[in-house]
Amino acid sequence: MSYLFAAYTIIWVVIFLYTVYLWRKQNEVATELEILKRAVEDK
Amino acid sequence: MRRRKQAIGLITLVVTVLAVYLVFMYAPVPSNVRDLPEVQKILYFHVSAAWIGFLAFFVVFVASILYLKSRDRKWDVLAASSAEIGVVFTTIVLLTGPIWGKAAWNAWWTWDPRLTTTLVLWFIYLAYIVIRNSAEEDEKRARLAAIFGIIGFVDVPIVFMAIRWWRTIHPVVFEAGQVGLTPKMLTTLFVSLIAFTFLYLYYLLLRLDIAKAKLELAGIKEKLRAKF
Repeated sequence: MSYLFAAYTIIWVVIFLYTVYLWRKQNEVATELEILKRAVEDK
Repeated sequence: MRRRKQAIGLITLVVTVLAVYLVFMYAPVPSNVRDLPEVQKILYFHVSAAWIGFLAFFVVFVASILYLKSRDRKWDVLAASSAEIGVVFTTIVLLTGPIWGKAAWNAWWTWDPRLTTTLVLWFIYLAYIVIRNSAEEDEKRARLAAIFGIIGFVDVPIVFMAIRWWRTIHPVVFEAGQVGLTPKMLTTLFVSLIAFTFLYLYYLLLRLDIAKAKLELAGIKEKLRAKF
């Protein structure tokens, strides 16, 4: 049972980490884009 | 685009919860396995992750050909996004396989043709990502990555056929004309495959969004640089 538990834990950890990575990356880029667009408009 | 992504995200969540339920509550423990039969349940997500690896690298292959033909940046972006997702899912395959191997063969790793070719596949696409992050100019880097993406795909059919071409200890789930699973096990595997396919689509949309925003960002920065 511990092998099964270990395997599914690893699967969920990898999926969780990659999802969080993509969400954070998307937020970072969107925020930077927003700031830059606003700066260009202000000029 | 945002709505479509949210809808796919929601479907992914629902189908994944269903898949987990089927794996642990519905799929029977095989009666023909003597030692640690419950460990066979690793197969459902292990095979699904392998399927997504193949699908993702196939998308890289097709997008790379289309990029070389058209030099349209969107194909390059699609290939880059799919390759990254493929590496993530192949990592899952390479991590869960040895756990099953330890339980079934009492060894974390053997240089079996299926295991070895899968490891090679992982290294090929890791190298592909390294090429993409190299300091070369955009056009040259995209061309080089596309060529690598096409050549690298050669390993995918080799991985798939490895258990049929060579003597191996890796189990064969699907063989010509027969399936080594009961109907309940097959249903569980099928739902797991659908769940992972939706997860791939969701990741791909997210990854494409990021790539598009990055391109837009680079365009604005370029304009500003030219201005000042």
